Amino acid sequence: MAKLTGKNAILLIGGYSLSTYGTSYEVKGPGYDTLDITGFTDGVTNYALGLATAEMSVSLMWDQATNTVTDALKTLGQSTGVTILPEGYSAAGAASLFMQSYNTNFTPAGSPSTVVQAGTIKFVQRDNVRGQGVMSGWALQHGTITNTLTGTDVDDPSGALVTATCAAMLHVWTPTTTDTYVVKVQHSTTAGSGYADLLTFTANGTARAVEVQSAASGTVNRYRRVLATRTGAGAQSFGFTVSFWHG
Amino acid sequence: MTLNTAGIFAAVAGLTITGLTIKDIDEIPFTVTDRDCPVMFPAPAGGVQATQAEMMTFGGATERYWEVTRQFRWNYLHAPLGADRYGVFAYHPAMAAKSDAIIEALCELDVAGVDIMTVDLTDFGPVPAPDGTMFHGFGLTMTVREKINP
Repeated sequence: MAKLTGKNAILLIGGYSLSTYGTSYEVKGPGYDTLDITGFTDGVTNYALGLATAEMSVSLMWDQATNTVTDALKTLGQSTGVTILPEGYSAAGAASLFMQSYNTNFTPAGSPSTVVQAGTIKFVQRDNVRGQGVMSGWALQHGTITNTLTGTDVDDPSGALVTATCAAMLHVWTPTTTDTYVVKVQHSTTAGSGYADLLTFTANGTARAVEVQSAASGTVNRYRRVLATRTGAGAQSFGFTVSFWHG
Repeated sequence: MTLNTAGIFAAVAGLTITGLTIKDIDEIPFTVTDRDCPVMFPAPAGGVQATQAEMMTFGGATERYWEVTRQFRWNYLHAPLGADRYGVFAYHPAMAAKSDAIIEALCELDVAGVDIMTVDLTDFGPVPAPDGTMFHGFGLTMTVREKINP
C-alpha cells in the first residue's frame, strides 16, 4: 500500500464535521493505567494494571459559528463519539478509528501572530465503560444523500465471516428537516444479495446526533453495508457517516 | 476569501503620508524626476516575492485552510543622486522621518483577511528608478499572511 499524507483525514466529533478545523490528531489505546503498589519494605517499585484506557486527541482551530467547533466542544464531560477517517473517504471500506468517549478539556489559545486555537481536545475512555476502547474498523458510508441509499458491499479483510462482538457508530452531521431515515448496518454471506439487519440506529436523521449500536458476540457475515431508508418526500440533504468494527 | 494582491497594493497606495506620493501596482512610473519625489512605488522587478503557501488543516481539496505568506516590496525614492551639492548623507534625516511615517502607517493598515507580519527596510543608499536613474532612497518589504478557505 502506498504511503499517504494525512491531508484528507476526516474528523467527526459528536455529530459535527470538523475536518477543516483540524490541524492534528493522535490516537492512544488501548492501554492501562498503572497503579503504584510499592510497599514500605519493597526493594523495587512495583506496579499493577489499573483501568483500561483509550484516548483520542484532536487539535482544532477556533470557530464559534453555529454548528462548528465551540458547539461541538463546549459541554465538557458529556458522552460523545469521535470518528477519524485517517485516509479520508473515497469509497466504502475506508479505514475508520472511532470511540465512545467524553471530552475532558477545552483550552482555547491564541497569539497575535497565529490563528485562534480551540486547543488540543482529549477524548478519553476509562475501563471501557462507554464501549470497546478505540475501535479500528471501516467506514461504510460518509457523504450526503437525498433519498434511500443502499450502500456498497464491504468485504471482511479475512475474506470470511467472523464470530465476534461488533459495533457501529453513526454521526448525523447534516440533519434533514422533515424527511426521516432508518439507518442500519446489514451483513450477508453473499456479495450484493441476501442481506439481513445486523445493527439498527435509533436516530432518525432529523437532528444532529452521534450514536453507537453494538451486539454481543455472534456471527458477523463477511459482507457488510449500510442501508438508509427514507420516509418522506422532501429530498432534503442528509449527511451522515457510519463506521463499523468487530472484535 | 482568496489572495488579494491588488487589494494590498491599493490599500498601501491609499495611505495618507504627508509629503509622500505612493503609487498603486498599475501606476509604477518608468521615469522619476526630482519633482516627483519623494515617491514610493511597487518594486518593478519583484513587487511580490517569497510566496509560501502552507496547508494548515485537514479536509477536501477545496475546503482545506491554507496560510499564504509572501513579501510585498516597494522602492522609496527621496531625491536624485548627485543632482546637487549636498553631501551623500544630507538626505538621511528627511528619509528617516519618512521611513518612520511609512512604518507607522503600515503597522496600522487593516486589510480584510490580511495579517501584516513584519515590515523591513533596506539600508539607505542608491536606489534605481525603472529607467536606471539613481536616487537617494531605500527599499521596503512588508511580509503578509493571507488565508485561503478561512
